[in-house]
Amino acid sequence: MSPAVAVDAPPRARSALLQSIARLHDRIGTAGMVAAGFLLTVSLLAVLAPVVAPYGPNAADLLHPSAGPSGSHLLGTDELGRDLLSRLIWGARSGLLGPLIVISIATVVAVPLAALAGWLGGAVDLVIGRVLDLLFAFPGLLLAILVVSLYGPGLLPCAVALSLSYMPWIARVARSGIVRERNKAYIAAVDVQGLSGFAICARHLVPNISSIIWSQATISFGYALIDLAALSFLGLNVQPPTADWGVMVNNEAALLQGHPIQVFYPCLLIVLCVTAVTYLGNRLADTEDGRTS
Amino acid sequence: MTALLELEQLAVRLPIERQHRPVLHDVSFRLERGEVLAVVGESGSGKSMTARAVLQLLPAGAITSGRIVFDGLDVASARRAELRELRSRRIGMIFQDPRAAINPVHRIGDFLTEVLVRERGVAKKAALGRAAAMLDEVGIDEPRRRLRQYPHELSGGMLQRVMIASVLLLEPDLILADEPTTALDVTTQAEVVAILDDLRKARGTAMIFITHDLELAASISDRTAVMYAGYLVETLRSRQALEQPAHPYTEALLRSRPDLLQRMERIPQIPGRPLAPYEIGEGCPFHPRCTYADDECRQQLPPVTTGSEGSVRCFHPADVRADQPAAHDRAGSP
Repeated sequence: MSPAVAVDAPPRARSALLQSIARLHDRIGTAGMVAAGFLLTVSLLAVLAPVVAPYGPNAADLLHPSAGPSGSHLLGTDELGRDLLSRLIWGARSGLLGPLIVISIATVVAVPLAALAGWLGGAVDLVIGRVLDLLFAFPGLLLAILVVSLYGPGLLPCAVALSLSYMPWIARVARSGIVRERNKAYIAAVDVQGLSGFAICARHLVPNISSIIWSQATISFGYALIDLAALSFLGLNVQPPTADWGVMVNNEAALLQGHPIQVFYPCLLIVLCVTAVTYLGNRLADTEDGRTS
Repeated sequence: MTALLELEQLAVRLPIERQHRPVLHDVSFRLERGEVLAVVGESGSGKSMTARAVLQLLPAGAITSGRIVFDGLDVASARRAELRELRSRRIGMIFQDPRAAINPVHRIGDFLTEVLVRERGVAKKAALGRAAAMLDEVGIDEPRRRLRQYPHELSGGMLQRVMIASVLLLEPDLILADEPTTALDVTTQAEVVAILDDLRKARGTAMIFITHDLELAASISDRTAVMYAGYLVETLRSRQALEQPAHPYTEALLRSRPDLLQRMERIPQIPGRPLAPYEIGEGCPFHPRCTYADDECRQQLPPVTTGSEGSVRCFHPADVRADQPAAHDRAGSP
């Protein structure tokens, strides 16, 4: 499948950036590029919130509560006169940071476990497999509620609790990838050269299944985003008045006073982010199969 | 001086379809230092399994009996640390398909230096220098540039040279070459084998060379071992393998080669089909396909008779047959 001939850089090479963008486009397609661009934009806005948001997240324009879109408030204001656009931008911070923490912790714990189980096999594999099964049995939200009841509400306890429930998903996929990969000849080749088991796992097995891990982590990111928003909605995660999409969805006042649009915006952002992330994850998973072998 | 490698009645059983089925029966041979033994036989006859058993690179659940002694160390009962030492310093293995046996995501330079750097504490720069010199020795041009390339940028023949270089870099006492040229085209085959043999000879490294090709085996090795259905049926001096085989199977294999000088209507073939090591019943494993088979062959496993020139597992080896009519003739006259 792979070209056997060395190809030098084409003459009149386009700039490196353009080339890597073209390669990315080949891999994830136009829709994928749109999804990636959208996520990139939201992330940039989140990072640059103090610069790009027209108002502070809690700056109230008390003279114009629940106002419609206008020149000074592009998306209007909420019932306390806070600028909706600014709150959405500030809210993107916890909205994206939360799932990032969840997936990072889950991946960092899952991959070594998967490597251990897949490489050593036998009893170790069995024990790790059963422990993962046990974790599967716990619904993530329930676990989060438990942790919050112990440590109080907040982003960190929720994220840590959720990461525990996302870990087995990533571990299971990574383990099956490692089991498939470890029977290949190149692993046997480094094994008979006497390379240590740790080096084989860290330098050969895990890098070769990295795209599976990436795609699983990406898909899980979307789910974690929803779960965290749900926890915010339930009042267990980020607490009002902090700007957060989940907190903004939980706005009965807006609904009761006939301004559903205020709830619609954060919902739309959640849906768009999750759709974009899930699409990207699926594309990564699809291309992964065609890439190796 | 003791042999470098000695197999004594090695038998291996593997879990196949929930049963432990034999894949090797009673394989014994000696390999001296610097000697080359070619192992020939049909697919599934146990050639690779023998080599893999030496390195304990067997599938999970394999049951081994008999002894594998490498330079005084019983491999089958070796501890993990001893086994790793054995693998990283004493025995090197060249695999059949270099494209599958070299990790596609690492550069050639990383592949060649990984074990030197990580297991032997050689500095990365020094290791790269050695790797470049070795690539030059196996006939790869621009070695420095190759070190930075990825496996997909090299041809199959070049990759197999890289594989050979990786094994020679570790300076083993024994090289196990498992059909190293099967995945290559014919013209590259000859070059790769010649390079492997030259470099091996210069270093006095012993080798077990597994192949389907009797002529290749004869040209590269001192002795040839012929395997059939998990049995070692004959070992003989390679010079004789093409002219004076003792075992009917070796004889039949030789007859089945196409003649390069003469056009043949049809290449003779051995009747029947090759049996898997776990399919054979009583008696000699080859008896269902053997023209010389008689009742004795059908009932008893022939013992190994060892002569000065080799050993053979047969009731009717060529030198005995020469004195008496063939079995099927006898059977025809009650």
